[in-house]
Amino acid sequence: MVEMRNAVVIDDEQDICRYISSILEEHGFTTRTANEAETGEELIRNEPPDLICLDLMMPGRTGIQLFVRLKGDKSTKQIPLVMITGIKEQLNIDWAKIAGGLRTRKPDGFIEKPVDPVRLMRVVEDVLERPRDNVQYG
Amino acid sequence: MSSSPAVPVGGSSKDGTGARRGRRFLPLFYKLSFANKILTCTLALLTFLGAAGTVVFQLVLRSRLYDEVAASTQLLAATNAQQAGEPLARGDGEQLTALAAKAVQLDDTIAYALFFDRDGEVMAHTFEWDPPAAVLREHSVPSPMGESGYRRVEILGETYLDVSAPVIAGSRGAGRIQLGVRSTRIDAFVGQLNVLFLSVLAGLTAIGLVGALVFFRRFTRPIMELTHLADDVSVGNLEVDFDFGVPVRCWAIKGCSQTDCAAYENTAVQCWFVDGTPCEGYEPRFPQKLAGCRTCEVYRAHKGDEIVQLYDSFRHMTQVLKTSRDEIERSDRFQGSLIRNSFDGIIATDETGMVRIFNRVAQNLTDYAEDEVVGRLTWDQIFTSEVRQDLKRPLFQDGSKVIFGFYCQEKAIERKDGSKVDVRASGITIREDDRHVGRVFFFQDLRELKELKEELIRSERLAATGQTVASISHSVKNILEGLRGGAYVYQRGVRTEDSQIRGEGWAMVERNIDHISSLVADLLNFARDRRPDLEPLDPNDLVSDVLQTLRPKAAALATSLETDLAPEAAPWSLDAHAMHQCLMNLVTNALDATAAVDEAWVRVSTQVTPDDELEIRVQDNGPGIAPNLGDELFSSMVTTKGSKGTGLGLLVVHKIVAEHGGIVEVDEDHAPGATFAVRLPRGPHELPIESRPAAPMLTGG
Repeated sequence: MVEMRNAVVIDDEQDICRYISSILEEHGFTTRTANEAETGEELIRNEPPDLICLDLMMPGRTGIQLFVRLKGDKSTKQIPLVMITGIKEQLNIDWAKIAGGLRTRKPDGFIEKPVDPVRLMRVVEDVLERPRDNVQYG
Repeated sequence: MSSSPAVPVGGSSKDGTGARRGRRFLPLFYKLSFANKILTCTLALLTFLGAAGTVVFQLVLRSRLYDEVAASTQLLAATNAQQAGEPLARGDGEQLTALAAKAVQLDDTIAYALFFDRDGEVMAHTFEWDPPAAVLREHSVPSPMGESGYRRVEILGETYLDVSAPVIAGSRGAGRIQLGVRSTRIDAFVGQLNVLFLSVLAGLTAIGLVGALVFFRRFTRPIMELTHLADDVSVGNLEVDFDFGVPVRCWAIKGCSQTDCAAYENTAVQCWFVDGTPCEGYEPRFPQKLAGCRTCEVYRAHKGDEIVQLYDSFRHMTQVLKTSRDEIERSDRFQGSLIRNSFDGIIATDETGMVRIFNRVAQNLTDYAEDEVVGRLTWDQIFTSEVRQDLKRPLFQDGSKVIFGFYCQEKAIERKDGSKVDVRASGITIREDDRHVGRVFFFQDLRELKELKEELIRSERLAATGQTVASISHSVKNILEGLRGGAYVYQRGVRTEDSQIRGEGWAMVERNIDHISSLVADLLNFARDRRPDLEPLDPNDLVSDVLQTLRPKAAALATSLETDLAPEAAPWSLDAHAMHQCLMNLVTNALDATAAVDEAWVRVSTQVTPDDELEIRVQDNGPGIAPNLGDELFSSMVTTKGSKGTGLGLLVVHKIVAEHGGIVEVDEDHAPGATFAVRLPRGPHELPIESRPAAPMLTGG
């Protein structure tokens, strides 16, 4: 029996959370969801997942702060992270600026709203297949 | 108001008249120099003294000589009287005639001799003719016997001393003898002495005058020099050259070796005028240092007589004037530079209104050159006429003085080509001792400012429109995402024949349909410019209805809904639909704020305030409102809900409350948590125009 992959989806919008987790579940993931950054971080630290889907634009910059914390922590920085964002020009984003001046890694992948299931899974598979050493730095 | 008659400067009219009279009588004297005046006075005095001395001398000397001659003649007369006693008693005329002739022959100063008997009859005389009446008349009154003396008589234009002596015969008087002595010699002698006296006096006077002339010339020369210097200073020439008094040799007196001092071995200057001398204990600069220098041995050594002191005082005065002039010139240059280079236009006028200052900005703004305006135009040819009235208005109090004018008002000025330019101007009427001395105007070109303002309004409107569109697009996008997600989950439920997943998907679709309904309602409420449809309602019913609608949401969030409703609030004039939307937004916000709070609650209360206003308070125990949001909470699309919020909710609340003539505000006294208080007056009421919020996304370009 193939071991099921584990994903954590964090988005303040409950319906989008459910939508993305539903897509992932259909592709063999078990998912846990959280609508706040703190709860999501708790889920990640309790049982590190194989994949994190994180909404960038959560109230009070909590999405960005969680991203900076996860990528700055040895125990979580290797976990593939797909950033859910409405920002199209994510390639041009100054991540150091967004992270409040901190030098940080880039997210491993981006999925832009509106979320297309096929595209989401292409990004997820791409991220998961990428060697962990070959990460990009912002 | 009557004006007082002009009074000549320098004294009363009475004094002036006296002075004029004196000048009229002594015109030449007043033209003389001071030295010549003194000389003239001295000469007049000496002349007077000489004349008086001559008269007195002549009188005294003549009198004494007369007395002497009379006394010697008296002896001669007495001698002849002894010899004539017997013949006179006998009435022997011949012997008496011989005696008289003898008396005249013996002394050539005796001009005549007469013998009178006791009755005063002439017994003998030496005249070739009858004795002159003057001689006889003089003696026609018999003198008492024994009396002698002399008197002056005139005979044929010649003066004689007529000396008489009694003639005694036995022991009784027989008559008397009169001898006449010519006074010509005496007069000639006195005249010669007078000439001698006057010559000596004139010589002494001449010597005295020459001496006085030399003395006074020397005495008044410094005064004349000072007068010329004062003339120079009075016409503004302060670079006058002084060469008076003992040269100051401070280095020698003080044993100073400061060779780099400007006063060192420099006799052309006096050290107390030199700034920055290294002497200790004095102020560094003139004139402040002078007070200390007056006690210095150098200054005391230089101090001479009154003339030297006068020179020094004059030199100090000139130096102070020079220092003050330099200071004024510096200040004038500085102020001139300020005025020329000011960013504001500056126009100043004199008391007649004629422009005297017209700076660069004023020139650029009006297109006039400076020389076309200064001394040629008056201020009212540049500013429009209403400024005249504004200049008469009290502006502010400066001590006891009231300053008249206007401050920072929008005015128009006329350009050279007749066109008008809007400016922001201030104008002040300048008065000194209640006398109008001029006006000054400051102004800024408003054209650029107005353009910038319009540009800013355009930018703000575009930004607001952009923000609104972005915010609504974001909301719509999220709702669409929810719908898409709902549809996906529903289809997955269908594919997997899992009714639970299907139900989840359908619930997501329904929820997002609710969201879009709410958004559309908010948009319509916000966009519509309408009057509220007021009807008497029980606000408590409205609150209950809203809470009933939101109870499932509250249950999902585990937030308890509490009420504290005042029964006296009914009825109140309200627009049921609008107020329902308003309360829905406030309570929904409160519920959303408590999503992450344990033992969360939202409390809605109603009450009628002492000001007879209906107050509806919506309170929660969420994290509260960030203080920096206070100002823009009701004026822009603010959301703290991330992707879930549109920022429209509170704008709609504000608009609906304003339509009811009320206010909505955040009650900061009830932190933590947020409390929104809506206060509505008892209707019916008019919609205050200024309370209508802007709707940039719909009205903006």
